Amino acid sequence: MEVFVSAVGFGLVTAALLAISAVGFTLQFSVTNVLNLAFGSVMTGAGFVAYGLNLSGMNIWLAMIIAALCGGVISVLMNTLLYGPFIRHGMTLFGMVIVTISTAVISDHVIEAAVGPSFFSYNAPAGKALHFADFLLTRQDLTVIAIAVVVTLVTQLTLQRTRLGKSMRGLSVNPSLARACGIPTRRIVNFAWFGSGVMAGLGGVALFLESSTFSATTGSDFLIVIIAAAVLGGIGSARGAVLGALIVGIVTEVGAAYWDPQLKDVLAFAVLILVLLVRPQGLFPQLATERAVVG
Amino acid sequence: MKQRDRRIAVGSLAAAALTTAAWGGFTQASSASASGGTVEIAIFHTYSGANAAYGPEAAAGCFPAERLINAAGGILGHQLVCTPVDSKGDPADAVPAANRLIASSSSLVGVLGGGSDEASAVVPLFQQARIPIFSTTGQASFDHSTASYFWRILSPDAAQGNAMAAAAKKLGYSKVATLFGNDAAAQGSAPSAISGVRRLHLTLTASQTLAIGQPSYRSEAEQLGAGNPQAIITEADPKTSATYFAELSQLSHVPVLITDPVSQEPTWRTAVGGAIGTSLLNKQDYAVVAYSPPTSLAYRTYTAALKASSKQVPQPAQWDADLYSVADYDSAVIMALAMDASHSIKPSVYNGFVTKVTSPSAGAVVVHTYAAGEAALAKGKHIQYVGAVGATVFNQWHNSGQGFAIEEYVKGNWTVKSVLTAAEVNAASGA
Amino acid sequence: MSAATQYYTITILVYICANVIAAWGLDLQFGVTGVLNFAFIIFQAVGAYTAGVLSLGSSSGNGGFEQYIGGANLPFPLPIIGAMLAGAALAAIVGLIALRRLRSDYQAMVMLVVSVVATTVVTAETGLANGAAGLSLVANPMYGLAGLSRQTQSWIFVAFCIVVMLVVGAVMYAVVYSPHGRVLRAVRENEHALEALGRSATHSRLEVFVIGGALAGLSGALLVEFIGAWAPSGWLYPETFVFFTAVIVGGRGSVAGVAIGAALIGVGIQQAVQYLPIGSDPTVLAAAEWIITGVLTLVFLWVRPQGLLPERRRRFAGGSGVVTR
Repeated sequence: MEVFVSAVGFGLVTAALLAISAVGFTLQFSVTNVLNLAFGSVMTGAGFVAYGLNLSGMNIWLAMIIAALCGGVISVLMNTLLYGPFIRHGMTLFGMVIVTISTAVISDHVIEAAVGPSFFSYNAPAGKALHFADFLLTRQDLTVIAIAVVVTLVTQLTLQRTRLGKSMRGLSVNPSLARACGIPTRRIVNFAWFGSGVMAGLGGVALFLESSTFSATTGSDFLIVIIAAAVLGGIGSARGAVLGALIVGIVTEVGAAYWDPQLKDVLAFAVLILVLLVRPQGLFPQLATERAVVG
Repeated sequence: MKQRDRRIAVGSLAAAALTTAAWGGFTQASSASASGGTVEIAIFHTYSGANAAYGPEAAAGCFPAERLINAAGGILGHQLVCTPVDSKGDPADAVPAANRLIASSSSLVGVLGGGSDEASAVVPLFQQARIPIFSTTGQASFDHSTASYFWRILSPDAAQGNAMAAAAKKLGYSKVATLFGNDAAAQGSAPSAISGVRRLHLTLTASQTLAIGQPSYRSEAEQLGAGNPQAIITEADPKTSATYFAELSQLSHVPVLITDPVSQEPTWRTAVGGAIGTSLLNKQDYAVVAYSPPTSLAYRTYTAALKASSKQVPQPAQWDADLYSVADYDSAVIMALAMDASHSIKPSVYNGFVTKVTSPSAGAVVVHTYAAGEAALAKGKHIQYVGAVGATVFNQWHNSGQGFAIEEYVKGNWTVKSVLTAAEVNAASGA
Repeated sequence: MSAATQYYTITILVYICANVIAAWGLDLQFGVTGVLNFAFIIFQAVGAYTAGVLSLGSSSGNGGFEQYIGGANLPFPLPIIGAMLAGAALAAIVGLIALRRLRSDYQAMVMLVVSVVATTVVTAETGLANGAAGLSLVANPMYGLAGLSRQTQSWIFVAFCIVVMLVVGAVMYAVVYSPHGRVLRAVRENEHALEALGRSATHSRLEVFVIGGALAGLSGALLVEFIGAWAPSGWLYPETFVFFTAVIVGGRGSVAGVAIGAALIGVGIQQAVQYLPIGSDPTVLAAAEWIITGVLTLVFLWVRPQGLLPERRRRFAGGSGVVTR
């Protein structure tokens, strides 16, 4: 029983990492319909920005915030300079996926060429794990979980309570109608990219922190699992992303504890495929009447 | 332009571009041979992807050799040039890279290459081209190699695994766990390490294989910690090891680590040291490595040349304890001495002299540097080169091997704690 | 030509043939029918593993250092045919699960996940295909021809690959520019109209998935018999992207275009980048290859999305003048 509870605890940590990023990923997708596979590169880039700041003596949590803001800015620039023009040029949904993959490939390898094949660590010792109720979590783990909770709550509140959130939801359901109602599409879209970039930045630094060591490929390696969590929850739903993250995180760690740890990811992916067989739209399907890309 | 004409034009353009690219390879001689009178040793290793450190590691062996050999007058009047070539770390990409290397370099005399990721695909190519390849792969598939141009001077992975088990026993630990990554390199020593532990009647508390590069190994680390092993016999790549041991350190504690030459690679030490703290790592880690007296002349010559090669090898000092760099250095020197002994730089000729300059024989002068070897050969003597890795004696399958010693990192240097006797290693292997 | 230059040419030609055949497979799936198959590389891999295992014999031979399931010593060309069947079979299984009710972007993501699952499982379960170390010592079928020099044998293999490529090309022409090809294109362009006419889009997608899988398996077989080895490090999920670039650059739906794209992207970039004046640091060169591939894709998508040799748009006499986009 002990093993199970501590595995669930570890699963919560992984879920937190996934949730921070999956919520950002899915939010941006719901507004723009662009499947941004360069998300992992933004995570990595922000992670290295935090590394530079941390190396020069800054506290890692402060560096995380600054790196997250950088992530937001980079994402907005990516859309303004690259994705937006392609969309206005007439690129379809499929074509945009290829555009984002190309962007990911280019940025990943630029980062790799820049930092080299080495491995890095933050100057942020995690300390010993705290034992409570069979859970084994360090202060760092708990902070990351807290960040995930805050990010999720803030996103939910923004979407449900603020005008910005309502506009985003309107845009995601029916872009043309939203435009016709006078919603400033460009501005909302920029907000969505900024928000997703900030979450990518937070997620990237958290990932680097929790892995204890990182390199130029860490972000993109993790992207597949983030996407799995987002798709499982139903792309476009922030609640779904969190639930998907919880399922993937806990299945992974419990699977590692009771089964072959080499295949823990496979277990989570199998759950994803099974869920999609029964419920092809994911757990919390988004009702969209139109599916055009919005730039 | 009419549709048909445009298509023809575009098609011809594309074809022309492709042809030019391909022919560029055939006609352009490598810069080394352009100046006539140089011979080339290729550093054919992975410079990209997950194992991108292997290339610089091998370069750290070749360039010091190049420096020393050229300072002694070169090889039969020819200057030596080390040329880095990326093998890309997988068989499908390594094959065209190898064929391109063979085709484009007319002065290629030898190859330092054949890492575990691509050895089985590229060794046959160099065999066919009759160019000696000195490989650092420990894979069992080469334990009985019939390729006459394949040479392996380091002990195979199977022996390494047995030695790690023997070391655990020698250090007095009866409860151990084994921990290996599931990539090609680490999987070589896993089976013999595990079987060695069993054969020596040590208690195996856990035997874990890790999917490499995961962000979390918490469940695995907790399981391993719960068994309370006194020591962990382990080999895994830098990232996996760093993440795992950091989490192990958080969840319980890091016991003694019994590692192999991989843990002496600078990337490994930086990654794991950064994750768990360098002082903890140095305190807990024992590396079981090929044994060579550390104060030997050969090794000191190597480290001095390495330090002087900072132009070609960035931060050279990080490689001076890296067994693979040292082995590549010895390999280059052996190739050079074989060429001197055979009075020919033709690979198909000097390949037969590799054993002649490394085997012990009555009347052979034991030398430890290229300069000494060249001088002795010039006087018509037989030599036996005993290099920085120790004596290299090839068996009928062109495999060599060394004894093993347990080393620890004390005050900035690796020092031998104790030497494993052949009997102790054989007890683990059941030989 | 010197021996070394010959072997280099032989390598390039074999790789071009294999890449072109594979790219045609993806062209059928993505170029013509619009299936975003992000797991494409695993079908090439299953073909390579099958051909390898079927020619290596039982795993206890060869000194017993490689483990794999199955194992037979079948004569040429049975391993290659086996590889095509394996590619088709795997495609049928994956297609039946993934192609049915999912929306297209989910489909794409699931394919990506399937690709990762495949490499993870093959690496972890060493009994399947020798794990991370992969298969080795796969013999080239032409090396068994008695009385010929190794060079001649290799050239015969090249000739065989070229013949296979031409045959596949002829089949591609027949399929793509036939009435059936129009059905496939309709799946891509206007699925609802197709369904209204009583044809099943899913049926067509599954069909091209299986044929494309067979072609990918064939290309894998040719490669493994030439290289002699095959390991997971060579078919990680980003490799699929290289084939997508080939199809896009060459011209979606166009048989000749995709062939040129495959030769340029798959082989040309890799070789050409060695001669760029960006120094010879291998780490930078490796990164440059990928960066160039990515940039080329973006440039082509912007400037010439129809590719180098766009697919021929048929006009029909007596039509109402309505022309597709």
